Amino acid sequence: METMNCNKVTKRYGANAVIKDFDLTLEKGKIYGLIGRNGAGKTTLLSMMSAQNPASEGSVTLDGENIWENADALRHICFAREISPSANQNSLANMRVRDYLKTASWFYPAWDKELAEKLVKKFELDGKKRLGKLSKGMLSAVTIIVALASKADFTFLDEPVAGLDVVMREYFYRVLLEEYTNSGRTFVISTHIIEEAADVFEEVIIIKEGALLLKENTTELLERAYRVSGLIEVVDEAVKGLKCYHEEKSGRAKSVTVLLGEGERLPEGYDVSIQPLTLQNVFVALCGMEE
Amino acid sequence: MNEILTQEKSIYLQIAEMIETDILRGILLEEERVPSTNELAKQYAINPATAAKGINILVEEGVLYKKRGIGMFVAEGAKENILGRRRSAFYENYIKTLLKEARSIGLDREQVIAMIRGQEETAEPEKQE
Amino acid sequence: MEKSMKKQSVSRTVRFWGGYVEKIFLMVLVIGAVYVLFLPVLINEDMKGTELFLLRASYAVMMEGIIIFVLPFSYPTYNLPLALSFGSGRREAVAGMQLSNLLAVGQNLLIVGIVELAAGKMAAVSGREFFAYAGTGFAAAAGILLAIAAIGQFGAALILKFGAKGTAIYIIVFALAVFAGALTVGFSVGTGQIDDAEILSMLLDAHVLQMIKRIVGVLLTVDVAAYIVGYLVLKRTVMRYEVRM
Repeated sequence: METMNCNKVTKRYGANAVIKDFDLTLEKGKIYGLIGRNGAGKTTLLSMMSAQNPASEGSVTLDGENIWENADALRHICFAREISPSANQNSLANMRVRDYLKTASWFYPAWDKELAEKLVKKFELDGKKRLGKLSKGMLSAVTIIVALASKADFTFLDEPVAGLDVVMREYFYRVLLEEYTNSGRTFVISTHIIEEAADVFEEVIIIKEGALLLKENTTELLERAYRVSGLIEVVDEAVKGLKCYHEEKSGRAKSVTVLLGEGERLPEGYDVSIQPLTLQNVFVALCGMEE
Repeated sequence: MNEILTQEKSIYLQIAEMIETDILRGILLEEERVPSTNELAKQYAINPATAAKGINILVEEGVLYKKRGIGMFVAEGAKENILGRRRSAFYENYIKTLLKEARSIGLDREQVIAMIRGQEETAEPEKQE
Repeated sequence: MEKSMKKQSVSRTVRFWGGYVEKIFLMVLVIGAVYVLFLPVLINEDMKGTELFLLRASYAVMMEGIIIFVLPFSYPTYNLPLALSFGSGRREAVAGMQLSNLLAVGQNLLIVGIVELAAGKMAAVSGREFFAYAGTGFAAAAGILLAIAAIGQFGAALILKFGAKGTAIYIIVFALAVFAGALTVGFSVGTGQIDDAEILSMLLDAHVLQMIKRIVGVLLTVDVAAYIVGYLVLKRTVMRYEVRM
């Protein structure tokens, strides 16, 4: 199970193309971060990449084979989506945690029961409790347990830390890394809490309005992103020819985010402040609201 | 090496520097094993690839070497190696910034040198060159 | 040890879809057993044995027929989304639904058959008489259950496509009609509106038996045809279904 590909994937709801012409390659054995604003299409993308929903055009392949209705391919993929028992009628809300996990174990051939049991304890879950009675954080914990215990080669998590308190979030990142180092599985994690998770992502995928904005090694991206600030005229001179984003002016001062391209270097000799940026800064600069 | 990671510098560089500092402080001695990339990843909650990048820098610089199947070890002469490189980089990493800052606040070289020597400078800042 | 995916697929389909039906069935069986235990309380002394067994058979059909009626509510809102979220394919899910239907209908008919055998013994009816009664009863039960199952296929498709509105349609339009029919039959027989002696002599008339056989034959054929159409509609709907948050 080496590579997953999105080949010109498009998703339409009615006349509206929510995902457009999406091409993506996921290599085995990496932790990818998927970030994008609400409504950018993260969940839609992940559900197509796990064949839970059909693409309107294009295909998703695993090692070249289309995954749609392909049980042999799907056994290697797990998309642990948010559970929302309130939206469904009684049967799901009445299901006990341990029965939910037992059902999951039937569907994932490589299910690791011990890992599941260990995580239930660590997340302080009561196996007898019914899903409808769980808090948002506990539901997130259940989703995480399914994702990790599935042992699927390509595992996707959609906002796994929603509702978890900070202590549980940090525990999640650690347990994720532990599982990753033990198994070398591929993970794609979508999240809104970017800064916390940034160090865990080997590569980051930014999706903007249904299209792929960039996919890059996190460290390399951050090594080419800087905030340049100073007197307006001096800044303009300094960043001439470079790609700029997220311009902010106040009085005689101005600052911009600069993304260096291939072979480009930071301006030298200008009286400007040059600061490194966090992944969150970069994301907001690229996907923030246009002034 | 129990410092916290900051946001100011690439993580892998910080990892490399932390290991170097530990070697200088005698926390890691020559021929001793350094934490593996997986151990570093777990300790700092970072991606193992990032930790590996930091370690690789040190291998390239000859500070660490790899024993197949066992792990990474501190090379002989690592301390001198690190000190040597840090001394060469001292001008680039510290002096240059110091001089730039001095220039921007109107202090000339002489005043800076006097400060270093421990004398308070009372004369007016001289005109810029 | 890696099981082949086909085996895994079958095993998890049986466990998940089949297991679900069995759970419900067990519940109803318990209720039914309790009912049977209390039966003596509900019976008038002057009801004859033949009435008894018709009564019981029709109640058995109705009570357990409810399962078949109820399944289409849970397929679209529980079983299908859950299976899909765990990586099941849609074709596999549709097969699972059919398995559940098969189990539900099949087990019901089994119970009806047992009830009739028991009733036959109790009423000391045997031979040609017995088969006349039992055969008709059994065939009628099959007809009703299959009809409910066929309608259920459409119902599941409706709920899948239209959500709450689909549920409303399924309940109002189809179920009431079905139950009105079943209640009428069961009720009238059970309360003795139809005299069993009349029925018996009617049934033993060769012509009437022929006609009834033909009617039941048509009914069953229609049922099967409707079921197949329902199945196709359901399959198509499932293939296009969107799992939403």
